[in-house]
Amino acid sequence: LNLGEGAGLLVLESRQSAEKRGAKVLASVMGYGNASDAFHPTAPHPEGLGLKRATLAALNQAGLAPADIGCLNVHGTSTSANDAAEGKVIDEIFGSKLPFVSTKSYTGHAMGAAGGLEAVFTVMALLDQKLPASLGFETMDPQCRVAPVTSNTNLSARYGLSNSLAFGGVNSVLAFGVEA
Amino acid sequence: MTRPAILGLGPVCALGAGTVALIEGLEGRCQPLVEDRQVGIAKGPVPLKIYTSKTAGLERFAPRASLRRTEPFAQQALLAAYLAFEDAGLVPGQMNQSRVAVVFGSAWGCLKAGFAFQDSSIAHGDICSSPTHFSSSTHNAPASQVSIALGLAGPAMTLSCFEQTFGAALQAARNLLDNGSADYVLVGVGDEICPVTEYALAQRRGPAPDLDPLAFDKCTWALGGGFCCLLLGRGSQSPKYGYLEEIFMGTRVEDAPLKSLDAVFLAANGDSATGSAYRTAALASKRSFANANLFGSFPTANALDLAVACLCLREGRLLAPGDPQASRPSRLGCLQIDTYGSVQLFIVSNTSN
Repeated sequence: LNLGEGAGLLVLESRQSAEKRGAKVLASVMGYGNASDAFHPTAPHPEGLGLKRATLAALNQAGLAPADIGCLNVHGTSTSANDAAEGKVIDEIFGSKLPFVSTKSYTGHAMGAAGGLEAVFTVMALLDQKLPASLGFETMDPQCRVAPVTSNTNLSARYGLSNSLAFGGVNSVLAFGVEA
Repeated sequence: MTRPAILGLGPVCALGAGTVALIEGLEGRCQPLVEDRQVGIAKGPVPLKIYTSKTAGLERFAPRASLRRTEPFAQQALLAAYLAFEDAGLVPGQMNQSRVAVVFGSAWGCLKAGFAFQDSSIAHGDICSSPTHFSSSTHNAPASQVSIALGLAGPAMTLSCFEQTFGAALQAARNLLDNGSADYVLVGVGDEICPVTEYALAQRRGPAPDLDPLAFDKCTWALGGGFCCLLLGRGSQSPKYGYLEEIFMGTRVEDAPLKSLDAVFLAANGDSATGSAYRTAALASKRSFANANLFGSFPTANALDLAVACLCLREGRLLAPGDPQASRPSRLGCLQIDTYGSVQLFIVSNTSN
């Protein structure tokens, strides 16, 4: 884990208002999910129970199935407890084929700003149809079950997710979509 | 938009813990715990009045041993949470806990744990700094302690936007009920005081007179702390305290629908910077009250104002010293004006749609 700093902002507007003024809509917030592990003040639940419920809630609110998701920006702190729990949930819900990255390998962990930054990265990945390589990834931890992309990867994705986890077992997942 | 039902209250402040203590304080039958402190600064000691919140009674809900590593601020939050469920007549362990959300907020956060962590790091180096203080220093530590202790596994979030914190928390809570993410939301906010805030106040202002929230032109601000939880449910549930009818957010007091209210509780807290705006609000209201002299001054004290409004609806009268008339209020407001000009008005009512 390396610390970082920064800020990431999204300007949100109702679709009705945006269409009325002819604005260029970059992406849509399709849904979100939030759930608590209620488990430990600092460690995630080892099976990622809260993250799993948050992911399913985000998909449900967005009206999407796991197969609709084309990319994922993981919380990915590079701590063994987080990565093992998050990897299990990704494997259980999406399997091993979903391309994902931890952009904290570029920015460091910006703490409260991480969610905003990574929401921006997720939207940009969908707009550019490209996912950057995870920096610093060398050896697969078998506990994690799944591995991030290790080279810049072209996508064919209309929908993407962004995970954010926090001390206290807080899990939140954002679902974004772009026009086909 | 959902009109959340207010099912239970858990106030913890200088008057004590629970709704009975709050009512007794409002009616002048008990006094807040105000400590006289001499705070040393370069110019010499400065006398300050500090409204101190106590967590006596927490052992009734949680064994003392289980609280050993729980910081005082999180203990306040825990007590407020337990009291809110008890007041609602609900037992978390008998509910579908994944459908109960926790939305907490604090302007200042866990000050004592934060400074204790820094002190331990400075004194002993990063290798020997306290990991307990580290994990307890984050703003969401109280929410996590409450989630773990009560087994609440629904959505959990902690917000911090200074004097707008409670309004933001209420908005978030209402959204979670509205979009079906939760059936109940434990919404709570609070702030704690610590030697650093006392020192900062002594440096900035010097000796304080008695806190008088209705002396709009004077600066009588006095540090206080506390935590207040409200248990909210869907509008269809039978509400003990009525409904959260409306959350108004604006930038002009004149735009707030004050005239439609039977009375308004002002979050005026002895800060002369917002005094003239509160005076405008008081003049525009049928009746107005301010209770910071019972709680002390802190950015999230307006949650206690909302608890007071709820109790007035429940009791069928305006709870205030020398105001025995049974006025049967049905629509009350709590007004918060911050130093940047933001105006928030929370309206509670006991009328069904």
